[in-house]
Amino acid sequence: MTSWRLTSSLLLLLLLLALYVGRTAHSDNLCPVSNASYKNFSDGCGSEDWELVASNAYGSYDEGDYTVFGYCGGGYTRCDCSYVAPYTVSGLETMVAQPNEADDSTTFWWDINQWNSPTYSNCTSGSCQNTGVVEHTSGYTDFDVGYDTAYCDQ
Amino acid sequence: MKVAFVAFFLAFSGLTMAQTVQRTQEINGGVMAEQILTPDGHIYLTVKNNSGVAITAMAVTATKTATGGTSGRPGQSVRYFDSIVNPFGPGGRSISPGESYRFSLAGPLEKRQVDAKLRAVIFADGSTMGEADWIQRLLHSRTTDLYYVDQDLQILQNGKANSEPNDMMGQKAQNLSDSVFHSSASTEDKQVAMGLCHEILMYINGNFDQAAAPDERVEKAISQLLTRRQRLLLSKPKLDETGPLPSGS
Repeated sequence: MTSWRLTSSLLLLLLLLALYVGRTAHSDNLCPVSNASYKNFSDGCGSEDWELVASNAYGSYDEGDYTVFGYCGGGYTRCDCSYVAPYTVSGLETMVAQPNEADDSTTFWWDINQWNSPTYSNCTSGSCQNTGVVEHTSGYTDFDVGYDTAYCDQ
Repeated sequence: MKVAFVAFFLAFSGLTMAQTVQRTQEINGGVMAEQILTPDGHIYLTVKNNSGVAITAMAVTATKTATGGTSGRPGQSVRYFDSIVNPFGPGGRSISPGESYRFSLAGPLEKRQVDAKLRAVIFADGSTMGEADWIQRLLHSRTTDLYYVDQDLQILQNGKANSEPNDMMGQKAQNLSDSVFHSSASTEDKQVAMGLCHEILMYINGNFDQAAAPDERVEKAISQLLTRRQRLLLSKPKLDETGPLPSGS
């Protein structure tokens, strides 16, 4: 009797362990979605139009195009007379994915950095105080991107 | 530069070519929405403000249903426009009477049928149109934004007063964002908390303005948050600062 109970308990324990491992593995890999976005075109000065695309094992989710603003900077002399060569900075789109265990889905969106055009101010000191400039750049996070949901129970 | 880019985009993306209007929607005669398919396979919802008051926020959904070549449960895309929550750049301008705004909903790789719907509109005078729960979602996003702006301001202003290094302030902002992301908060709450954190890090790490000294970077991040805060506090309908905290916080 004791042996039977011990065996039953052991089997029950193994069953629970298997369920736990299976559940954990399922959670870790729940409906993975990857970023498959591509660039439609660029203006050559940092601003780009991106096709925001996510994909999972069941297909693609094309969420449409989105303009990510960058800028062209440089091409000026600093206050200390050093020259800053022209350069380009692009905006940045990064995918964020949030698995939803309850309904076997993943909610995803893109975190987007936008850049404003640089501004320039006069120098207040330096060897080239009269001819040099200070470049100021700035940007912001775009909150109007929205979000989407991909399902994996097809 | 941005105007030039938009002109370039219009010229080369097929938007100036023939478009197909897939459906129209009108809310109370004041706002007209048109779902448009362009020749290059993009689907947009263009919303025209036919009212006499500027629009400050809108909520749009697009149900994406499987067709012959696809299968699975219908998905839903959610899109927002809010010139109060998003005060910088082109999105920071309200939609004046007679003007239009275009939501991007799908592209050529999307094989499911798209049905877009304008759910809610908030006007500059505080009046609203549309479905009550979506109006509440828009207002909740503003309240959430104000809540996290204040939390992040506290981190930066206390850090500055205590001469904390930028890294430490950045880590505290990151911890706040992570705690929201791993909570049961709504997607909108997570987007706001993460977006604000990201913006702060871009400033205090010097990504947004490399010429600025470390203490100037913190000042700029604070200035950015104060602009957001002021915009939220002046918005209509008035936000309840002492209202319920965002879900999951």
